Amino acid sequence: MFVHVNKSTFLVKKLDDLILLHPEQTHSLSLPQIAKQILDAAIAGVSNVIATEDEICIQCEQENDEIIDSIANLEFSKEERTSKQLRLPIYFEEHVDTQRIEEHTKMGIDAYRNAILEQSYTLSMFGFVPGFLYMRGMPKVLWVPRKQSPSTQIEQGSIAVGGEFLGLYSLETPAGWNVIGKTPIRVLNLSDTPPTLIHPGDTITLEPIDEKEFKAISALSQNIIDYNA
Amino acid sequence: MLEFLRAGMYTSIQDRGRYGLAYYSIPQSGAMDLGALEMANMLAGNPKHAACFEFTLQGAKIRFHEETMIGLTGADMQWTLNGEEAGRFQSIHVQAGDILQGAYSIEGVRAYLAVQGRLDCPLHHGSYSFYTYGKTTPARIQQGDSIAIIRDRPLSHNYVNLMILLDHDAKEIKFTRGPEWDILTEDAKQSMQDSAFKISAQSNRMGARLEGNTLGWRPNTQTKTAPLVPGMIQLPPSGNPIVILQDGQTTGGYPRIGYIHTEELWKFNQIRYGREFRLILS
Repeated sequence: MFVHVNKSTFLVKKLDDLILLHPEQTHSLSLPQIAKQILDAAIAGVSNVIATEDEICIQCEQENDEIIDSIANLEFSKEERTSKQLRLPIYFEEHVDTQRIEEHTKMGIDAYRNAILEQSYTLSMFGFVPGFLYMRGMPKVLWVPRKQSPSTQIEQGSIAVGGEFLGLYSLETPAGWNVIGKTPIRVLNLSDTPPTLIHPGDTITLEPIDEKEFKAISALSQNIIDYNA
Repeated sequence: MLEFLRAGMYTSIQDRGRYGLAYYSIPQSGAMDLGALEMANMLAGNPKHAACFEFTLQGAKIRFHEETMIGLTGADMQWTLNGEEAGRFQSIHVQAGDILQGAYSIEGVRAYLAVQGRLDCPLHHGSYSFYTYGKTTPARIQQGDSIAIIRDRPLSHNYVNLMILLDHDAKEIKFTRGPEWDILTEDAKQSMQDSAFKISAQSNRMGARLEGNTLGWRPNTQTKTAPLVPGMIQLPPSGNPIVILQDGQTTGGYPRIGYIHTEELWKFNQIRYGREFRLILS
């Protein structure tokens, strides 16, 4: 069974109270961007919409075929949400993961940091815990595999490399990615709806700051929208 | 007001949970045995999904500072009120100064206490359920905590006795094939249905680790980050499955080999650590 959502065709799989959508053919929007449109349509009986790069999972209050019809009949405004271009400051701090990064990439840490700064990144998806960002845009030479077992707690605001993704940890959590630095800017506001200030499709460029600037910006307690205003 | 003289092993406030936010990686949370929470609220004279206390493996010691009606359901934590047995599944009238005390559970894992009125705790995205949020809000009740009860109408003395006997020790849990079921070897597919599993003591509200026969992956299996909901059974390379639970993460990189439907998951969440049970393919 197939369903068409905003010019994309999806194969529909039902799993009890879950509806899983896998793309047959897509257009310019990513799955997390299409999933956001389904979520914002607030279809009756839908309790959650979760998206990764390869699947949209719709959790329903109960098994329900009408929800698939509702998704197929969603009307989308012609104007798609324009993606934002945002700057994010990064303080490259000495970290225990530096050695791992140098060993895997055969690059010195300064050259690695410069190469990281040259790229522009796209927010691909959310996941893991609130305010965690999966960003794409690293060339293969900069990829560093995730650790076999997660290390202990890392600081909130840490920016880390996990395989092909650049990640931002908004909360202090155990982490299995390789930390390269940290940002004093918040992208998460847990009490707001939506709780994130950045959305899939937005692009991010990193701006290097030193320790003094890190402390100065931290003291302002800015979020990414204020910082870019 | 209620005062926690002793907090118990892991006590939190839970309701039905928060929905519509898993897109932003905020887990649904909520009662691990929602059916038990609903019954507790019925006994206390509350709306069906009012917030309750959820106790894990061990009850708390609580002093009531006002008269109220309560209901106790779920695991058998051998509750006493001022030293006398306090029965589960029936309304109980408590007076100011009364002390309710629970011990280690002798059957089941999660117990619920509903108190007539509304527990005074913060509302986040439509739910009173506690969740760690990486330490930004309280995750659990601590010894010495006091929780006020907000009542907008006079106490209703309506006694309910559910006269039921619940089996909190399920021997079988139904599951359906997960989206990545076919990454399992043929042996592993058989083994998942034929052999006994136990829930490891290294389990919490985020996930339950299963012990039993290790399940093998087919060679050259590619894995990608995929959505997760409570009840999804993931298979890490170790071969020991993990069941994602109410506070679990919303995406994960391990193959999703099975799915335990919501109402079966409530039964699963009451199986004591170390007890044998079987997964039944349905």
